[in-house]
Amino acid sequence: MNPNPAFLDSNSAFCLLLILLIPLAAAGMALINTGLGRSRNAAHMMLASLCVMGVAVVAYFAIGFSWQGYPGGPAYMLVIKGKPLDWIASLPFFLRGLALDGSKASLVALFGLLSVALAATLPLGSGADRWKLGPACISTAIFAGWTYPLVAHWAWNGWLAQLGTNDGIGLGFLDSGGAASIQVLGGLTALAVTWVLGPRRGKYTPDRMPLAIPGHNAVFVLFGCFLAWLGWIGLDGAGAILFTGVGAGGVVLVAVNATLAAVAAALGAAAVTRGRYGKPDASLCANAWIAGLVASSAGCAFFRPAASMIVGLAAGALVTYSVELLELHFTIDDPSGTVSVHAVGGLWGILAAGWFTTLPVNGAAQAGQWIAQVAGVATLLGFVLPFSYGVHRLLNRLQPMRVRPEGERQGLDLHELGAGAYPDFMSHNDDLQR
Amino acid sequence: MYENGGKREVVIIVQIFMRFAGFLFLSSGWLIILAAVVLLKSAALTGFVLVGIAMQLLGLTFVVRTHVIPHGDKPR
Repeated sequence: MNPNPAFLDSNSAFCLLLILLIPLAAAGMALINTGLGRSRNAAHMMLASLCVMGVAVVAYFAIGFSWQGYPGGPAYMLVIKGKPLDWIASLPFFLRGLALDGSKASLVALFGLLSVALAATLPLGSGADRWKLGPACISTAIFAGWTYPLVAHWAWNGWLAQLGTNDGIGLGFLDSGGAASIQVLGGLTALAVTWVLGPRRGKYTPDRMPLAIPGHNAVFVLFGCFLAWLGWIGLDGAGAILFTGVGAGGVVLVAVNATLAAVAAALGAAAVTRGRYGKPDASLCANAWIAGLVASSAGCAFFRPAASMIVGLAAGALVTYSVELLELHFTIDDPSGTVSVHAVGGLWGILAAGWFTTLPVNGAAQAGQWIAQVAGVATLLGFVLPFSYGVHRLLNRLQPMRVRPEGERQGLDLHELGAGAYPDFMSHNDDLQR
Repeated sequence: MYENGGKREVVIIVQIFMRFAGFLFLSSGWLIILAAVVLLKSAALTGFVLVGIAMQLLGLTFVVRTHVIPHGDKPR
């Protein structure tokens, strides 16, 4: 226990300040999800965001942190050919025995508590306009109590992170800002949710042509991007200090990289959409902005600024094509573009961290870094996607996740909450006849 | 009428099989890569990692393909 918790060392105090910025990213994602959905579901989406954040925080506090643990903390090991494989932490439930006094373990717990809330909001955007509140909360409890802690443990202090020390593969899996354990995890869960829920009513014609269902408030979406920017700097900076051993001064590089990646991605998307459609597309530019932040997360502490710009630019261009590909050819109805932004953008960022980073190791180890990153990507695709899909299929059997057709027509605000987000602009026929 | 119904049933069974195989390939590819990074060194390691990636790509293709809405299907 820290004898004088009022006085933290400067690194811990700065890290605490950065961690406190993370809720801004969650607020940004909630606004983006709301703005890209229909107006008749706006209040439902904001309330659902608050509810899933609450469920995520409680589940993580109750059991999640005990399985995630912290670097150097107690864990269960599998021993293969004499090598330890650290697969899950072994701390008591309910944060028992953890001194919340500014120690590194307590900062990791706070970081996890806030970042799991951010991750939990991601699948909501994909299930927008049709996912019931109750099943969304149940899904989040499993996500925050099991999936997130396990993947976060592997990526930040478990067997993936130790590939460098145990197996001599680069520095081990690099993910300073949570590209894998927050973004891709949320994105792949969102993909499972969209597959289980199916597309919104009226999204596809019988000959499989997608119809445009534009978001109802571009200002929410773009303001959400500003909030997310600040939140991401906190997320990446705190992650870099806690999991890659960067000092407080190294956060300058992290912030520069995150910013450059975001602006390059947004400008790239503006250029691509201007070239393809004649005018820049606001929602795609917003999606690209977030994709740039996501893509820079994995290697933000190691990229050179110019490399970060290239990674962001590629992420921005990738998202514009990915959104179209998923909607048009794969019939994935993802109203907020979560799969493209967080799963595709995040996977690109993780791979780019293997190619574009300059590491303080010798040439052979540097060359092996891409294998560590590929191992991380394979883990996400081979464990998270099948597990998440199976869980949501099962949940859907036990309690249908999708709202009934009349509820979808009426809007989730009235159907599930009994009141709309914009009562002054009510345009339902029943109300006009009163 | 009966023939169309029968054909549709076959398509559904094939889709379920492909979906199951797809998820199996995704998990198998991961396990191949996991085993390779833990047990192997240098050239063999790279080869097994590439095989694992190929297997996962195949699995992903199967899974995505089985979720595409067929032409002429009644929209929700």
